[in-house]
Amino acid sequence: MSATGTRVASLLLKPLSHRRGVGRGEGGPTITGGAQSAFLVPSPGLGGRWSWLALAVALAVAPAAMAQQPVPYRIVGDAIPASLTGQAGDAARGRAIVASRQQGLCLLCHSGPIAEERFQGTLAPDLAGAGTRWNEGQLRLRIVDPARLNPQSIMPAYHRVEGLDRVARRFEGKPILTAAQIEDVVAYLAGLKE
Amino acid sequence: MRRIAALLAAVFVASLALAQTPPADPRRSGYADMAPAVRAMQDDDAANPAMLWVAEGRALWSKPEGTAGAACATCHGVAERSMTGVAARYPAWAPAAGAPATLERRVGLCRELHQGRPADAPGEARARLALLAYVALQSRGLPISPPADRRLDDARAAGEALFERRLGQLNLACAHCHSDNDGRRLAGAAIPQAHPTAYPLYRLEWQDLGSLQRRLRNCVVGIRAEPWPADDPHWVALELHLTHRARGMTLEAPGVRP
Repeated sequence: MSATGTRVASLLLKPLSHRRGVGRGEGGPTITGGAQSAFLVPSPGLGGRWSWLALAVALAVAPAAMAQQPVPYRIVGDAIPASLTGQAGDAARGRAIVASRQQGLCLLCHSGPIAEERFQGTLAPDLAGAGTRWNEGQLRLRIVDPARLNPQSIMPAYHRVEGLDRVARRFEGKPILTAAQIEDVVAYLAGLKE
Repeated sequence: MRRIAALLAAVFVASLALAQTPPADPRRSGYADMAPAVRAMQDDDAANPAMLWVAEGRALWSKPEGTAGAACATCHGVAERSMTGVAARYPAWAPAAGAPATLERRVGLCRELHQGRPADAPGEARARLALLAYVALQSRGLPISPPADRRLDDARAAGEALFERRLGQLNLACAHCHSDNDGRRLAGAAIPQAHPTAYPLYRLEWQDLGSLQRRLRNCVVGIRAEPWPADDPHWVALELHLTHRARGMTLEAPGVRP
């Protein structure tokens, strides 16, 4: 295997055995009394028709649940060249995600060419011209997991669930954006040419 | 001629004073960055909504309550004397809890132990907040003065580490905004340096009076982290770190913030 091949292979997404993105404040004094507890809920046994019903429900729900899970991807250099969904995103939907304070949250820190959103952030670079500065693959990695390129970055990883501390229960195990939403945002940003 | 001499003398004295001015403190209270209308609201006791809670706290101070039928005043006398400087030193060690406690928790402990008002009694949270506002007012204008108590050291150090620790789905630490990016704008709002100079305070966004712990919970929920339960040691540790970081700054409580 060539050196490049080895590097690419080592960057394939896999469960991380170490915590990432916690570069500061580690090893400090600990606080007692705040540990989260996990609950195991015993499920009553379902027999006969009910088990078929449960299976049918599980099958119906599975695709929706799976859409919330991060999908695997391959990093080449400083980019994820391939679409996470195998399809191109929708720039109009991407614009709506970027503008939304509930979904993309982008304008909390960034400013961007979205005039109707008056309150924009100044913590991060202006998104205008993003498509001139980066290609689609580069934009994709910078959204999916910016810490891969800069561990000190304050930008959240939008498609990663490992290495996070004390995630609120309603967001546990879910990436900020789904694979399809990432592709929509990539399509929008790639079209921002100055 | 005498007037010119007097003027020269005044300029000379002023230049001496300037030469002796220590380097400017880079720390800023959130007050310094508020719109003039909001500052005016804090400055005028007749316009400051927090004074409604102060009035309630003042009434509660001398009202006998609980199974013991005791009022705050029964033990502490006149608040204007006994409570001066108290809010400026909290969080402090609470012997009854065997742990550091915020002033709000300390008020609650006093009511539980000496008045016999359980923490879950109806209206207790509001009563505690009102008393907190009344007690805090007695330290207005005083410098924030965390006690040099070795029993607080571990919790304070834990709070400092927590301030720097990334949390939640958004994977942000307090320091990322409030130390590294203060003054910049988060969705249009200036990020303050997070000095707790005015708690409890009336927040226009809340349309309510709230404690520092409530404000901290806001931030923790905002980064999509699971907040700790009320009065959890993590909150106390953070408050200890924040008051240490703001030591010497003037207490403006009860304040107003946007």
